[in-house]
Amino acid sequence: MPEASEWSVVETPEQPVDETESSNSEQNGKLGADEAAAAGSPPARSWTPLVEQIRAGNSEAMTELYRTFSRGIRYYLCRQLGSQDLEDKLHDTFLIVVQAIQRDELRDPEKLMGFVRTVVRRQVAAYIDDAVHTRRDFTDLEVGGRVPDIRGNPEQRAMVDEKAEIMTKVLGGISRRDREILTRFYLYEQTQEQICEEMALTETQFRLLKSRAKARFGEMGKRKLERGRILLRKV
Amino acid sequence: MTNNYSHCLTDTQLEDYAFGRVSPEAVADVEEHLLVCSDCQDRLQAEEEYIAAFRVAARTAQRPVQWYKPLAAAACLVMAVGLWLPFSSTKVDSVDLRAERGGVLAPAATAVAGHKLELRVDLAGLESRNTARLQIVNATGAPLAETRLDGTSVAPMWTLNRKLGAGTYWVRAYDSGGKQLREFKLDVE
Repeated sequence: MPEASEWSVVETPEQPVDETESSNSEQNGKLGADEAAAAGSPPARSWTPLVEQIRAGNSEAMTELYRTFSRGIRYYLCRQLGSQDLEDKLHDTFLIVVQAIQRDELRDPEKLMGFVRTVVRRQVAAYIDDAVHTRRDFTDLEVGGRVPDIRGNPEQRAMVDEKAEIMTKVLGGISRRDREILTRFYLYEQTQEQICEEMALTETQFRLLKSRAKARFGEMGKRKLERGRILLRKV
Repeated sequence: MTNNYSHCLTDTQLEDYAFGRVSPEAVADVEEHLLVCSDCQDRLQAEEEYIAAFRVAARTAQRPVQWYKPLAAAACLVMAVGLWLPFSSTKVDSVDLRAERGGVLAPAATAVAGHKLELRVDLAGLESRNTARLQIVNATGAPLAETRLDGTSVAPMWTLNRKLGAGTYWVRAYDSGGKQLREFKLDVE
């Protein structure tokens, strides 16, 4: 199926926490099958037994729920809110999910993923709302607010700088036109369609350029890592 | 039973999600999958790190080279005189911003730094698109000036009120809804 048909721009209003908020997963299930198969996708799963065990108060089921979703919830919270107090936020979110399941707020167990997503999104909204109010309250006292630093900690910034150094070398090794194409896409966030139209490129040429640059970036990163390991061994 | 747990996300889906281009309806599919698939989480993180590294590198590459600073101390007076003269000039340069023709990419327009510029913007082919305004931005995308169009001309003239320093600029044409219709590159030297 052509990728252009994967995304339809449809506005949907926010729904209360119930199964209606979950995705049109049947449509999405047909998409990207070849790539999914190649990527070794996790097998399809029924959530009903797990949800029933959680409702019954089974602690092993709660452990299984945590094991299944904790990494994804942590990842989402970190992307949206930064790494500050991450474990506390994860714990709070997980608690809300479990309590809501035990209160029978999840009517269709097979919609568990949509349900968890909704809870996580609402938690993020609540944290942001709280941070904004706290910052407002403290403005007069000139105390720093609790707005998370989404730029990351010094270690993360150092990693970005290191990768940027590699990227500079990659960009230095391609033509000015190719550099312009990639800059339009990654820096100015122009769409593939616009870039291809304005720069007389086919979709294939565009994708090839992107993947070559990424491959080169990956190779140079690995080489740098390997050089680092060799130096460490010598020490 | 239907859920999206069984299919990993394609590279394009991850890219669109990283850029925030996924529709509200489709984003639920993506985020639900990301809740449970560690492979896709890793791939998304790698994609975002790649984009972040590119942006830092691209912005750094667009900054002027500073290796001449020690020499600039000795040549400061000469440079000051050399810079003053162009900026005191009332000369107006005409610059043609042309769109591509027949699939051949039009080269970037060029102009001289410090000169007053009159831009002739090629809007041929956009007659039905209601081009409403032009905007000029610098290399980091920061808007510098803007002008409204009456939509009657396919080659409107725009005299910039400010003089541009050396660098790369983009002149963009938008319709009344804010959608970008065309873009022209302007190298000022």
